[in-house]
Amino acid sequence: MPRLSRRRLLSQTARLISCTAIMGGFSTRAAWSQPVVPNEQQAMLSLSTLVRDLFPHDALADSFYVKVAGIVQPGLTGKEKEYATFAAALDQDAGGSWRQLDPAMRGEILAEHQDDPFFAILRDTARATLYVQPEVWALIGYGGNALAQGGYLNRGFNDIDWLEGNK
Amino acid sequence: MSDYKFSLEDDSVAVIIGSGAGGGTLANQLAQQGIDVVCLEAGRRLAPVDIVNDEAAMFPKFTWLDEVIGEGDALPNFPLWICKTVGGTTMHWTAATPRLQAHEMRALSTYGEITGASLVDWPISLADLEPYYARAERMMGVTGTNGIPMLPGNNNFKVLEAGGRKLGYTDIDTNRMAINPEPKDGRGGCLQLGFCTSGCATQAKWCTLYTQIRDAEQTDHFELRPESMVMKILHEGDRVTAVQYLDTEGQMHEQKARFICVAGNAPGTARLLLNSASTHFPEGLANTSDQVGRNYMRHMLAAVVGIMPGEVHIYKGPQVAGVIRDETRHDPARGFSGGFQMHTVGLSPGSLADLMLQGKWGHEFTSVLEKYRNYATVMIMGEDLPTADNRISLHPERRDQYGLPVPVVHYTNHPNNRAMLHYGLEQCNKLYRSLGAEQVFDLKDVFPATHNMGTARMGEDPATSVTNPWGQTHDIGNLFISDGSLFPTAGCENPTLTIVTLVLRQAEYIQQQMQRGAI
Repeated sequence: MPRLSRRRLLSQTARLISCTAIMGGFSTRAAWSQPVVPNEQQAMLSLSTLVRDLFPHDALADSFYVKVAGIVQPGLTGKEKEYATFAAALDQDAGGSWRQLDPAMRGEILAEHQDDPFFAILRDTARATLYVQPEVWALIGYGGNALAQGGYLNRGFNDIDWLEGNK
Repeated sequence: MSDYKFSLEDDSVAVIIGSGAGGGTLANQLAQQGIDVVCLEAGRRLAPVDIVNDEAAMFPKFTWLDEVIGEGDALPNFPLWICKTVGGTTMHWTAATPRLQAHEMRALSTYGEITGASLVDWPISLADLEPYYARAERMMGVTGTNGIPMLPGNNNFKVLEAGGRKLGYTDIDTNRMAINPEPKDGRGGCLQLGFCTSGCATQAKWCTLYTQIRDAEQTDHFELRPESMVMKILHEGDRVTAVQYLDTEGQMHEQKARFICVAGNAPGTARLLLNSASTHFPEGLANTSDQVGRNYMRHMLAAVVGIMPGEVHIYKGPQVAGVIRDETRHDPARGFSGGFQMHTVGLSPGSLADLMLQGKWGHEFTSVLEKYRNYATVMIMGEDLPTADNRISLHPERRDQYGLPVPVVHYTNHPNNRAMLHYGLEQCNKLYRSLGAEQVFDLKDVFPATHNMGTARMGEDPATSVTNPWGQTHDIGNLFISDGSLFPTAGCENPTLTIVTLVLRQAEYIQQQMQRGAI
C-alpha cells in the first residue's frame, strides 16, 4: 500500500492552518537525524539569521537559532532555487551582505519582501519548527509532557492566585 | 486468511465498518448479546505504550491523513480533523458529553423555517432518548452522573467562571466529561495532563479502544480487523450481502454479512455509500432520496484568547473541562437561532502560534507569544444549521492511495452562523476584559471540523431522509447507519454522547429485527 508521501505531507503542512505546528513538528522530527553537510554552513548562518529576524526572542541565544535552522533546512528541500533567489534579492537590497546589516535594517529589507512566495514558505516552516522546541517552551512558560511527574494534578493545575477579589 | 476468526464466506456475521464511538460501541453491544461481529477498521491498532504525551508525536499516529479536499468555507487541505485508528475519533476527542436539549431536537418547530436551511424536527424526541442517554452516561462514566464526581476545575476554568459570573452567567461548571476522576475498571484517573486530544496516556478518558472493544474481545463473538479499508458494499436487490476491503498488502477481500452497519464518521460514511453505487442505486447505495452526503454539519467554532493580568497556564488539565451553558438556549432576540456553548480550550504554543498569528512575524508576533503564561482561552461552539448544498461528494478525477475517489467537503457558513459567531466573540471579549485582560484575540475560521454530522439524516419519510428513526436505511433493510451521519440537525452539544446513545438504541432494535427474522 503506498504510504503518504513526504512531499504531500509537506505541501499539506505548509498550507494547513490549525495543525501546522503539530504537523510541522512531525515533519521536522525526521530532520533531526539528518546530518548538516559542512559546506552548507554558510547557508545555515543566513538561515539562522532569517529565522531569528522572523521570530525574534531576545532571551534565546544565536546558537539556538543555528540549531533550529538546521532543522528548518531539510524542510526546504526542493526549494533551494527559490531560497537562493530570495537570499540574492535581500543582498541586492542591502547593497552587499544582508546578514551583516544591523537588525533594524535587516528587518526593513525583509518587510519589503514579505509578499515573495518563498517568504511565506520560510515563515511557516520556521514557525512550525520553532514553537515545538523545548527551549522556546521554557522561555514562554509551556510545561509540556508532565506524565512522568504525575501530570499537573499535584503540580499547580489549579494554583491561580490573582482572581481573589475579582469575583 | 486462515487466521480469521470468522470465515469470509460466513454470511451469518454482522459487519461493522468503523471502530469509534458508533462502530466500537455497537460492536460490543451486539457481541455481548451473542451476535457474531466482524469489525473492519481502516486504521491501525495502537498499543498503550504508543500513547505518549506529545502532540507532535501523536498527530501522525492516528490522524486521518488521506487526501480530503475542502471547498467553500472548509479549510482546503485539511477540512476534517478525524482519526484513522482503532477507537476512531474517540482517541482524539475531548470527552465532553452534554446531552442534546429538547428544543434542539425540534429545530424546525422551535426556530421556524429559515431561508437556506433544510431544518427538520428529529423523528424522535428527547424523551425517547433519555433512557439511552442514561445508559450511555453510566457506561462511559460521565462526571456529574451516576454518583461520579465532577472533575476539579483548572486555572483556565477558574478564569472562565469568574468572568462568566461578572457577565451574569450562572450555569457554569467543569462540564460533563467522560473522564475518570479516579482510577476505575483497569483505567487510570485523570492526572490533569492536558493532552486529551492527543490520546490519553492514563486511559482516564473514555475511548472505545480500551473500553468497548476490550470488552467485546472478552466475548467469543467479536473479531477486529484493523488496517482494513472498506472499498465498497455489495448488494443483491434490496439486501446488502458483503463488503470489499483492502488489507495492508493491497489485497482485496470480500466478507459476507447478514447485515452491515456503517460508522465511518459522517464524511466517511457518506463517501462509502456514494462509492457503492450500482446499476440499481446509480446515485449511491441507499440514496434514492438523494440525501446521502447532504446536510453535512459541523459546529460554529471559534476561540478567544485573553492575555490576563496574572498567570494561567492553560496547558494544565483536561482541555475542555469547563463550560458556560447560559447561551445554549434559543433566544432569537440575540439575532440568531439556536445557541452555543462557551467552554475552556487548552492549546499548546505550537497550535496557538499557527492559529493566532497566521501570516505574522517579527516582534509583533513574538512579544504576544511570550505572554503565553498569562493566556486564558475559551471556545464557542454553536449549532450549525443544515443546508442541502453543504455536502460530501466524490471528486470526479482525483484518486487516493487506495484508488478511491477523493472525498470533497463542500461547506459554506449559513448567515445564522455568522450572526452567532459575532455575538459569541463579543461575549468572550467582554468576559476577559471584565477581569482586566490587556489584550484579547479572536481565532475564527481557522479550525478544521472535528464534529461531523448529517450526510445520512434519519426521518420518517423515505423521500426526504436516508434512514428510519433507528438508523435502518429506508432502501435496504439490512443496512444501518451507526454514527453522527444520522443527525437531522446538530444542536450545539458535542456529538459523541448522542452517537453512543443512538447506537445503544439501535442495538436493541437490531436484536428485535433479528428475532423477528426481518434481517
